[in-house]
Amino acid sequence: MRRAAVVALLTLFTVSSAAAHTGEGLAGGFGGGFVHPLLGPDHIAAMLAVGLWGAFLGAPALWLLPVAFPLVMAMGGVLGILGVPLPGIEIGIAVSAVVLGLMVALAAKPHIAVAAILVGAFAIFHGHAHGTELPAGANALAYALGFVVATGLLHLAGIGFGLLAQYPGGRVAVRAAGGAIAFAGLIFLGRLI
Amino acid sequence: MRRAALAAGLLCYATSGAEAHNVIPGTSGFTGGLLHPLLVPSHVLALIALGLLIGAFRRRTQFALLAAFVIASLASFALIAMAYSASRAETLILCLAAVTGLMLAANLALSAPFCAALAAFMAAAILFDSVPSVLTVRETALSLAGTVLSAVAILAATAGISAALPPSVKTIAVRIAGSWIAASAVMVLALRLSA
Repeated sequence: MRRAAVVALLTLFTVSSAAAHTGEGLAGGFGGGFVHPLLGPDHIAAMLAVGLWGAFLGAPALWLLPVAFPLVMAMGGVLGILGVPLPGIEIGIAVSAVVLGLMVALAAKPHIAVAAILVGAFAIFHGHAHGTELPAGANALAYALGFVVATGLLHLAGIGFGLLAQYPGGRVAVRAAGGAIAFAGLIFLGRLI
Repeated sequence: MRRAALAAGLLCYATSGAEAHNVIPGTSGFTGGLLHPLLVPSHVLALIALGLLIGAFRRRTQFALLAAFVIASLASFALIAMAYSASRAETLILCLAAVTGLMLAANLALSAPFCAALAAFMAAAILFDSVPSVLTVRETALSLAGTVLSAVAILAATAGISAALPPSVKTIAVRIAGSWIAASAVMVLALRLSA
């Protein structure tokens, strides 16, 4: 009988009120989504390269790429959520770091439409990877917002550094950063193949 | 037997009722309603998107759009008081957030009547999604009054901040924010519809 009382007392600590649609775990959802792109070096490299390239290309690419990327990434995310298979997701992400890094290293300045299509194509792979890991719980929106914001901030970090390209020394530094990203992408690719 | 009764009594004391729509357990009434739009991600996103849209207009039009939001909220409250309900209100909020985010990202020049209609739909959806799980009319009225006040404060603050930004920064910042909102909302909509 005494044990029953102990069990009952222990149970007190485990019982909580049932609450659907609550704000609990909101920060956890956002935090989980926010760190998701930051835990993948391949994601970080590619997102920084998008920002660097946008800064290198100048307006309107400077703001068009960070606006278009999340929207196209969401389409990739929807494919992932709906379970539509996309072959070579991880390879596509690694290739995105190689190609976008090379674009910066070579100071490539194609037409804005070509740049947008290239970045958009890679955004599908990144979005698919994020979408398949989107939690189905009540905090899915906070999680999605977290990784979209983290992705956007990586773009902005790339743009911030890329703006150094307007100075002669800075241009060399930005192109070198592009080369380093391409090299890192090759390492990611080598691990996958 | 006495100990068993004590254990059962302690268990009864520890459990609390199901709270279907209280954002923070324990808060209810006006405070609960006030916190609701601030802590429910879909509400925050939709209101920020609408606030950014409102911020693109002149001061007088901004007040008119906020008035449209409040009037639609009052009309929705009247419907709620007549026991009308909406089961998919949060899905509608996400749809409206996605559409508003896309319009912001595309930098579309929208007419004031269109935005007023959008504000009215959003007010109705938010209010129907904020109905507390209490049975008294007084509690419901207090909670929804808090929700409307909080929602209008978010709209006014967002519109004010957006309007105060330098034009060059404003255009880019609003477009980027719109794309983030649309992207998040679209993915969660897909998740909800696929479930």
